[in-house]
Amino acid sequence: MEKPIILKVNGEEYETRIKPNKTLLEVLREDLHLTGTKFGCGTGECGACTVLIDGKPVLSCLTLAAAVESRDITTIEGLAVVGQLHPIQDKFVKHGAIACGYCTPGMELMAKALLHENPNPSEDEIKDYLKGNICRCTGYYKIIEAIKATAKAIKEER
Amino acid sequence: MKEKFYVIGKRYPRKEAVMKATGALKYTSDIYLPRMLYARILRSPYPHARVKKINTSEAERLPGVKAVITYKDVPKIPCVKGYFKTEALDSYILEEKARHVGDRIAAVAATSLDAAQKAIELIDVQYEELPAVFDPIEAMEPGAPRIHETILLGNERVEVKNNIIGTVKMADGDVEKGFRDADLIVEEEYKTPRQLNFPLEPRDTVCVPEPDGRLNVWATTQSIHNLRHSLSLSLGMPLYKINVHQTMLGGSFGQGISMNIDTPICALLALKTGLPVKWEPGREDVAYENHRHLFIIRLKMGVKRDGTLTAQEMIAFDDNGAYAISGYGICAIMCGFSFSFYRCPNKKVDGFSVYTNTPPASAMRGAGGPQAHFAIESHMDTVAEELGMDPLELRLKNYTREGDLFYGQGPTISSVIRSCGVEYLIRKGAELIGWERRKRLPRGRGIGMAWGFHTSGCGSPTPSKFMQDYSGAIVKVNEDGTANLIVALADPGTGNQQVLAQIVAEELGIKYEDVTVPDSNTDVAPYNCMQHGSRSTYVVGGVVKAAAAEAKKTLLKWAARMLEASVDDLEVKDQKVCVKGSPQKAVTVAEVATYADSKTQQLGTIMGCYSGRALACPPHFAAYFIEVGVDMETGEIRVANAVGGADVGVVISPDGAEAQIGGGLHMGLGYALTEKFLIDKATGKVLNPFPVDYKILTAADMPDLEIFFADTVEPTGPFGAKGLGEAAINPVAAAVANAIYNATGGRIKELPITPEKILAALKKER
Repeated sequence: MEKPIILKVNGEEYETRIKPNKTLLEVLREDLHLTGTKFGCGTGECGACTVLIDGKPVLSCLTLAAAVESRDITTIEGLAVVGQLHPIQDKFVKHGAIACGYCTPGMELMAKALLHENPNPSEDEIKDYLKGNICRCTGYYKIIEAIKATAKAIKEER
Repeated sequence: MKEKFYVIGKRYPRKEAVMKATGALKYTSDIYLPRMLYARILRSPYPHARVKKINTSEAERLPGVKAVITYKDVPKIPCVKGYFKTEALDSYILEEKARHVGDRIAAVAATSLDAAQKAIELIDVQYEELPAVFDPIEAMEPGAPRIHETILLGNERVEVKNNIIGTVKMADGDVEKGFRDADLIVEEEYKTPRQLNFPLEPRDTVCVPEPDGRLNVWATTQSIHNLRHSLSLSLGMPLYKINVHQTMLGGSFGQGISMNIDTPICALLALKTGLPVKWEPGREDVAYENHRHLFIIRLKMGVKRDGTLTAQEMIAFDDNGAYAISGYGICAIMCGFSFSFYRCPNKKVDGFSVYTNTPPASAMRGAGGPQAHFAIESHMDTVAEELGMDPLELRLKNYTREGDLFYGQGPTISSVIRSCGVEYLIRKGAELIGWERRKRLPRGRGIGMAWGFHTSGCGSPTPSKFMQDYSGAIVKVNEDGTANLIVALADPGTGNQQVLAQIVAEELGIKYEDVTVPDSNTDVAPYNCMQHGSRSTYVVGGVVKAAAAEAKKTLLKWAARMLEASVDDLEVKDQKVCVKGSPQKAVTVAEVATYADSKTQQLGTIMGCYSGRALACPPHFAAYFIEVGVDMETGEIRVANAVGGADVGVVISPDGAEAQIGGGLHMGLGYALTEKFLIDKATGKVLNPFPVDYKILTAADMPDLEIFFADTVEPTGPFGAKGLGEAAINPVAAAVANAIYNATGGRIKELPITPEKILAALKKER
C-alpha cells in the first residue's frame, strides 16, 4: 500500500508515493533519481550511503524514508552550487583522493560534517571520524590529505 | 640522458574526478530505465544436491512477475564464464544440480525487487541431498563425493578424476641432488584463506533487448569484449548482435574478470521478456560468485651455509570451489611465480587445482601472487634466521634480477628481466624504516619486510596458449586540435583513463586537458582482451602510444606543408611541431588541425590506430617494510609504520601510483590480519558476506606510510613504464608475518594472523 511522502532534499521539496518500508537510500535513488548516494552493503557498515540530516551524518540504507519526512536532507548532489565545486570537492579532485569514486560521496559529506564540528581537526581526529566509511582503493591516505588541505584553505579564507 | 617529459610524470586531476566528486557519474548500478524489470536468483540451501522436482507455477502467477527460468529454459551450451584459455567449461547457465550452498537453481524477473524476491520464495523445489566435501585435500581422496563428471578443458571433454581440474608441474634441474648438496633444509606448510574482492560497488548488470534482435548490455565488467564473447557463446547468439557498453567501475580487484553466472541469467530473462532487466545484487549474492582462491602450500628449501639456495620444492593445493571460473589458471600463476623469486638451479613445483562444494573462487588482485609471496617470503626469513644471516643479505644474494628469466602468469609466459630496481628498493626501504633498530626493539615490537613482483600484463615472445594479451586503440584529432582516444580499457578506479590520456598528450605534443577518453562499447572500440594482470599501463599504454604515433605521422605530413619543410626535418617538441634545430619555425597541433579542416585544404582528420600484442611481461617490483606492535598478553596487533617502495619503470601518474601502493598496503594488511571469508566446515554455508563480520580495515587502522620509487626505465614500456597494481599487494602479508616474528618470536604460517594464533604460537615457544 503506497503512501504519499514529501522529502526536503538539498533545499528542494520532492513529492512521491512509496511503500512505508522503503529506505531513504532506495527513495533517493529509485524515486528521486538522485543516484549519487550509493548502495555498498545495505547493512550500515560501509558508509557509501551516507547523507546528512540536519547537518549530521546518517546511514540512509538503515533509515526509513517516512521517518525523515520533515527533516533537512543533504545528499552529495547538494554540495556543489551549479558551476562551482564545494571546497571539499575541489581538494578531493586536486589531491588525487578519488580513485573509483564509490566512497567519495560519503567521504565528502563526512568531511563536511567534520569540518563543521571541528574546523581544525588533527590527523587522528580525521581518521577517527572516517572509520565508518570504507575505501577499498586508496588506503585512505589521500582522502585524509585532501581534508587537511580543505581545513587549511577554509581557515586561510577567513 | 633522461628524457624530458611535458605530461608524463606530472600530477593532474583524473579525467572523471569532477563527475565522481559530485556524484554525477553513472555506474552500472545507477542505471534505471523505463519499464525495467529486476532479477532475483533462487539459491540452493544445500552444498550438494540434485533437483528432483521444480515447480514454478505459483511464482509465475504472482502479480509483477514477467518470467521465471529453470534448467529447462537454458541453452544446452556450456557456459563460458572465464577468460584464461585454461578455463574449464563445467556447467550450463542453470543446472539440475546444486554444487555449493547458494548455487543458482532458478531465476525470476519482475517489476520490482520485492515482487521478484516474493516469487523466488514461491518456487517449489524438491532436492535429493548428496554427500559434500569442503576441503581440497579431502576432495582428492578416493571415495570423495564426485562434484563434476566431465568438463570441457579447452576443446577436449575430459573425465574429472578425484575432483582435480588440472595439475601444474614445473621442474628445473634435480631437486633431490639439490637437497643432498644443502647444508640446511627448511620445510614448512603455509595456509592462505579465502579473501573477498569487496569492491565498494556490488556487481550489477543491465540487459536491454532490442526488437531487431540485438542485445545492449551494461555491466560492472573488467572487459566489455570478453563479456561480449562469453555471452555470445553461452547464449548461442552471434557476436555482433551484442553491444556491451563501458561504464566506470566502483572498484573491481578481479571480481569483474569472469562473466560469472548472474550476467547470462540476466540476459536470458531480458531476451525472454523483451524488456530491460537489471541484476542488482546484495553482498551475499556477490560472495557466492567471487573470492580469492584458498591455498595450502608445502614448501621445502635447501641452502648452503653461505646462503646460496640449492633446492626449492613446492606442493600446492588450490581450492577452486564448485565451478572452475579460471580453470586451473590461478594455480598455474602461483606455480610460475614460485619459480621467479630466487636464483636456484634445482626447482620443482606440483600444483593441484581441485573442486570442492564451496562457492566458486575467482580472480583477485595478485591472482596466485599473494599466496606464493606469503609462502616464499615467510620461508626466506626462517632460512635466514637458521643460518644466522641478515634477511636482507640472504635476499640480495639470491634474488632473480636483470638478465634472468622470469616466469609470469604461469609456466608458458616468461620474460627476460630488462629493468629491476629490487636492490634499491630493499636498501632504501631498510634505511627509511630504520632496519638496524630491529635488534634493539623491545619484545612486542618488531620490523619485518618482504619484496615481490607481478607481471606487467601477460605478453611473451611467442603467443601463449595459456593467455591472450592483445589490445587495440584509435586516436583521432578533433578540428580544434584536441584529441579523442577510443579504447576499450575498463577503469576500475586505478586511473587508467588518466594514464592513457597522458600518453596520447605526450606523444602528440598537446596538453593533458586536451585529450578526451570517452566511455566506449564493443561496437566501436577495437578488441581489448581484459583489464587485469597489471597490464593497463604497460600493454594498453604501449598500444595507445603506437596509435598516437600513427596519428603523429599524418600530423607531421600536414605540418610539413604548413612549414614548407620536409617531414623528416620535423619533430614534436615543447608541445609543438617544429623544424629540428629551428624551434621558432613551429606550429601547434591546433593550428595543423584547423589548417586540415579549412575549406581551402579539406585534408581530412588526423587519426591513427594500432592493434597488437605484448611481446614481454616485464615484472614490476615492490618492497614493504612494516613495523608492528603486539600486545604480548592479548596478542592484539597494531601496524604502526610502513614503508612501501616500488619499481614501476618511469612513473607516469604519481598520484595514481601512490594510491596503488596505499590501496595495495590496505588490501594486503586485510589479507594478513583481518579478512577471512568463512565457509562453515560442517554445512558449507557462507558465514560472513557482509562487512559487519568480514572485517575491512578502516582509516583508523592504517599505519603511517612513506612511499618511494626506484628510478628505472623499462626499455620495452611506453615512455619506460611498467605496471604496479599487483606487486602493490603481493608482498604485504609476508612482511607482516615477518614483523610479527621479529616482535614475538612466533612464526605464524596461516593467514589471517589473529591474536589467538599469536598467543598459541607464544604458548608453544614456552
